[in-house]
Amino acid sequence: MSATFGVHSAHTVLTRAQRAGLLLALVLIGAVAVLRPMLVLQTVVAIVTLAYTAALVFRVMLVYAAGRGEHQVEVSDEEARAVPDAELPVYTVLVPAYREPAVIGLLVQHLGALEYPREKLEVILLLEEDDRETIEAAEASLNGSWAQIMVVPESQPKTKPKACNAGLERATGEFVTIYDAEDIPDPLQLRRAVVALRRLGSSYVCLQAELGYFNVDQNRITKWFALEYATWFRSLLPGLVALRMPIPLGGTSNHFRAAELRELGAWDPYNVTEDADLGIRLARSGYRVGVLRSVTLEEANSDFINWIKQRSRWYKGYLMTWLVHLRSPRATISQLGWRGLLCLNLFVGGTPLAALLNAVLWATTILWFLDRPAALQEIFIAPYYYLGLFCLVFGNATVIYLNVLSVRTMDRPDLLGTALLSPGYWAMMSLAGAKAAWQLVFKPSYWEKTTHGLHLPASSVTVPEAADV
Amino acid sequence: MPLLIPLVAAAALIAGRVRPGQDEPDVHDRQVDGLLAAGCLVSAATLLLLMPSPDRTTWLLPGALAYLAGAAILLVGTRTAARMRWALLLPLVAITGVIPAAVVDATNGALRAVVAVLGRPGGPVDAGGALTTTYRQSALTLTSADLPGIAFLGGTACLLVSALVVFGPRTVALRRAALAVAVLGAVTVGAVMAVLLTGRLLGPTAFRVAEYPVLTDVLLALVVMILVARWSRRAPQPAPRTVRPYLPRARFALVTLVVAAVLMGLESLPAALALTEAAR
Repeated sequence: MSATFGVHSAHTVLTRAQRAGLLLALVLIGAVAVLRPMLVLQTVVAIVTLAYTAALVFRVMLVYAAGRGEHQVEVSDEEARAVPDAELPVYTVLVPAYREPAVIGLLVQHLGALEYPREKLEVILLLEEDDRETIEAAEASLNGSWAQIMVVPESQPKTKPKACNAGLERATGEFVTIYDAEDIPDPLQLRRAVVALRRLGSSYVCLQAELGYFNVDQNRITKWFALEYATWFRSLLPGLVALRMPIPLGGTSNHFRAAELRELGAWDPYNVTEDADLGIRLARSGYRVGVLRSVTLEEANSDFINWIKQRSRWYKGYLMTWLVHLRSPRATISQLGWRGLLCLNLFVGGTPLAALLNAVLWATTILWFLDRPAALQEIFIAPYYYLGLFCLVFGNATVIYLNVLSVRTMDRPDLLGTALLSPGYWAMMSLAGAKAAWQLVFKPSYWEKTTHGLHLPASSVTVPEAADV
Repeated sequence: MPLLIPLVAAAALIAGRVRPGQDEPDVHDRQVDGLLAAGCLVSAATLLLLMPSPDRTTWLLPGALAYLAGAAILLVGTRTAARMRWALLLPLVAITGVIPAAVVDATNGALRAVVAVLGRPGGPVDAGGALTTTYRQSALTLTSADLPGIAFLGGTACLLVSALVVFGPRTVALRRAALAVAVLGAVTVGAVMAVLLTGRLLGPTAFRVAEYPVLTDVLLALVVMILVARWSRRAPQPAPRTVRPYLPRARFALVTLVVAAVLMGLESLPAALALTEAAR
């Protein structure tokens, strides 16, 4: 598969040229640090401060752009149901699952609610060969139903994108989508996607449906998670659409034209956020992605450690995607344009880097208030100090304001306290950022499996082991 | 001996929480453990080693807390440490010495009054801030400093914390804690009366042995341990699932932590001594 992607596969995190460049930069920085350590520290602080300011301004721009007009594709219930069954195409639904016997039984119930003619609905459940427990649970619960089970042969890498690629080879549908086993999609979502993709024309090859959570009120983490997703889908993604920038796709509920997806090489099996990478590759190929107004309810991660594991995989994947697409800068600029480049650096690369750096900067701030060491005063030269102060006050206030805005858009005033407590969530993000950075260096292709079904009674949950590539 | 009661209460709480609960996800991650522990230990080192004078003692408690948290996470894992967090904090109740002297004096005063009333037929007298009994015309005196007021207060604090941990912030916690404190109070009064009775019946030598604080401390620690252990017993689950007790391999971490503790201890020893001196 890495041959299909060529230079844009995450099979190798850093190419030889990237490694040489990084090494050279480190040697140069090291050499200058020996001679003029304060100069190096001041330069690092200046670069970080400028990057923070740029990322902050970029976010504000996205929210502002999202607020000017409607940027989600809307298909009403009447329009969705108006298409005669005979005119609907075969729709393939891929459901990858690994070590999830507890939630597999819910699949029939959730996907069974989809309003789409059964003879035109091809549901393929993708299970790994070594996962006998889930295979048996699936055979028991799907016996006689319309869903097929496809056992993906044991091979490396054992990742979700590899399973999806295997499923795509068997798929016969004109359109393809992915759901997780525990997902509860809007029953009309497939019909809406068909209508929307036909209406938008061939330049649109993908629609990302909105994701929400069915267990928002389980605990503080799920509440934070719900607010974050609301900000993501109602402010940031519409902003990216409005500014015609690449859309890093979410893990499920993205609806593709199958032919174009195959033409692109589908998902990179070595990338741990293959969806975000695919979003960038779609943009590089000149295709457009829309955001569909239709909600799929997922399970919000409710456990601290499980959350860190999931988020660190996302951050690692974002960093991988960023490094992969910066391998050929000239081609990237010509294919993505300056807007795409901004999105790639400030959104895809910037999100995990900001999470990682936040911990260092907060520690520095606390140290300053506790001890006021003279060295810190020297590191922050005046212009960058004031810029940093602006980011600290205005930046943090802006992010909290966005969460408060999401409280409004979700029409959940009871979540206001959670929105104001967001700094606690940022600390978790920093921890995930540090874990992601560590793994990017030492275990780049390790797939940190998220445990699902933590909202279910304890007796029905089994915990999966992670897959290592 | 001031650590005895909190340590015993902590041990009883931990014993009741060694196995994970039914609703606890069996999800662990050594990288998360390592990162959290590194953060805590770096904070501890920064607080203890880098924080300047004049008042270095201010940083001892947060430094100790950060070290304790980091060590616990590294040794038993984040989830287990979180499950036992209050139990691990109990010894700090004694270390911090948060009980003000006025409260200790008032408690000892109350103890004297109760013992004098209850022991009236036998004759201990509350006079001049001390309890006095007689053995063949010679007076045997138990001064205020010899009374176990501070041990009783420490035990009460441990019982309150333990009740909160076991029952949560509910009325039942308050009810159980009140009952337990009453039992502890009765045992404390009984212990003081036993010391006085020993002197009255067996003479000054036995009285000197009986008034060693360690004996009362051990007795109170036993009472606290029995109460907390009874509370900590989990109710039988209707359909228990297989819960894997999680204990990571952490021998290297243990050695590192001991070395770090020794180094930081040596570094902060002058400040600790100053704190002790100030407390006196």
